[in-house]
Amino acid sequence: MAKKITAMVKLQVNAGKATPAPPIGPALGQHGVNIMGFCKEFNERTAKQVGLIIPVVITVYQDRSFTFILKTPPASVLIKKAVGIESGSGVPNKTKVGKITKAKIREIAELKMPDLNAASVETAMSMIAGTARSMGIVVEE
Amino acid sequence: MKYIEVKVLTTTEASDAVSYMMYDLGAAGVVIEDPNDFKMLNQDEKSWDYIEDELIQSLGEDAKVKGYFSELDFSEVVLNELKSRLAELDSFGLDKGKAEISLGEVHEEDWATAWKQYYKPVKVGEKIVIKPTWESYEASEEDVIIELDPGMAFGTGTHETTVMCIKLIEKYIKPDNVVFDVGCGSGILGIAAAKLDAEKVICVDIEEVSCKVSRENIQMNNVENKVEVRCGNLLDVVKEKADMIIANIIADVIIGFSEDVDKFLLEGGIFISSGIIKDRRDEVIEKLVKEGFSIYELLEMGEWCAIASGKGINA
Repeated sequence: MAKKITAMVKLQVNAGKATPAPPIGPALGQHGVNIMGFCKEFNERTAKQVGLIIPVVITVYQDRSFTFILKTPPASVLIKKAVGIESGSGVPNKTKVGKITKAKIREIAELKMPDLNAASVETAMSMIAGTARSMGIVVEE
Repeated sequence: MKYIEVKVLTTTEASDAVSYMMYDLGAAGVVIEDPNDFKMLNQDEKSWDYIEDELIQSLGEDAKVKGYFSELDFSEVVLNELKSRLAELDSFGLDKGKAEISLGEVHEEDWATAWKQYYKPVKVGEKIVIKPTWESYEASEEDVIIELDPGMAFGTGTHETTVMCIKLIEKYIKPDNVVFDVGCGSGILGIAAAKLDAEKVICVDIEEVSCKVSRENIQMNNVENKVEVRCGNLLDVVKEKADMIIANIIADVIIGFSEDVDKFLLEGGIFISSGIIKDRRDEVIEKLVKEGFSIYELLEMGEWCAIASGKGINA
């Protein structure tokens, strides 16, 4: 069909645990999307990834029907996994909690490339490196 | 229960870092609205989806990251922490953009059911009434009810392209007709044809989700003995011929399809095409005529048009 999009919303939701509470309720409710329908489908598709935060892009069409695409995990999650830490630093400029190599940064950038609005892997790498630094992780040159 | 919505205007490159901060500071969930996502989509020429430029312009230039904090998890301390961490972003090599913070309140409401207010039973043709399952409707003798809940496939019955198709189906269908619904979406048009006494209906869609949703809707309307769903390209999955072929898709697909549609039409059959934006109307008509079709009827609603055509004598 000629599907005119009226909204596109990117959410980060716990895999298998979508409920109508924020952020889903307020984000989708205003567009008249069948929220329970979304939660059910999302939970089904992500049941095997429980424990991970999954970004999901929901596209809402003019007739209020919708579709969604699951994306790669957020950069912060992949960074934590690569470094082997539970959480980043609350004071990233003072307290460093780990180190990450350029090679790892490139690996994450390449994995996330399809989902980033980045023109090149280098641009994607600088986004990932910046995110890592903002979590108190030292990027090794 | 009240939630605090903390909105930060930033850039695409910093949006991941900002959403991490939100979670780190105790947000229950994060929403990102990034105009660049829309721009990327519009550059994809293969996509059937499209967005009007006005909508993109209305989104501005900034990526918006919204964190939702329960009232108990939010305080002045959290806000100040967020401010100082945002201010540092540049030093980590990320363009923080405007880094403006604004706060809003979101009151707990019944999100699980509030969306239903947008859907009411609606009479779309002379007979066909589309009714959400949770609504009641007092049907007159003439009414033909389709039960349909909006969901993951296009075609909730409220869209002009769907409404015009239903009007044309009502007008041109004859009992015992064999009907194909090409690009069936929610299955709504195939169900309408079945309820209007078609003998057999084949719904086809290339999207798995649409096929699944169609099958559910067909069952809900008790027409599974008449309506069959096939997943794939029409040319590959259908060998039969029909008295009526409905294609509510888009202009480009209809133009392409018009070269093949004849192979699937019985003598005197009707081809109903819709999903055609007005700007492309003449182009589609020209192509149909070139392929030997006569235009029986042209309907227009809003910015859309639908065409009934065929190679026989006007039914």
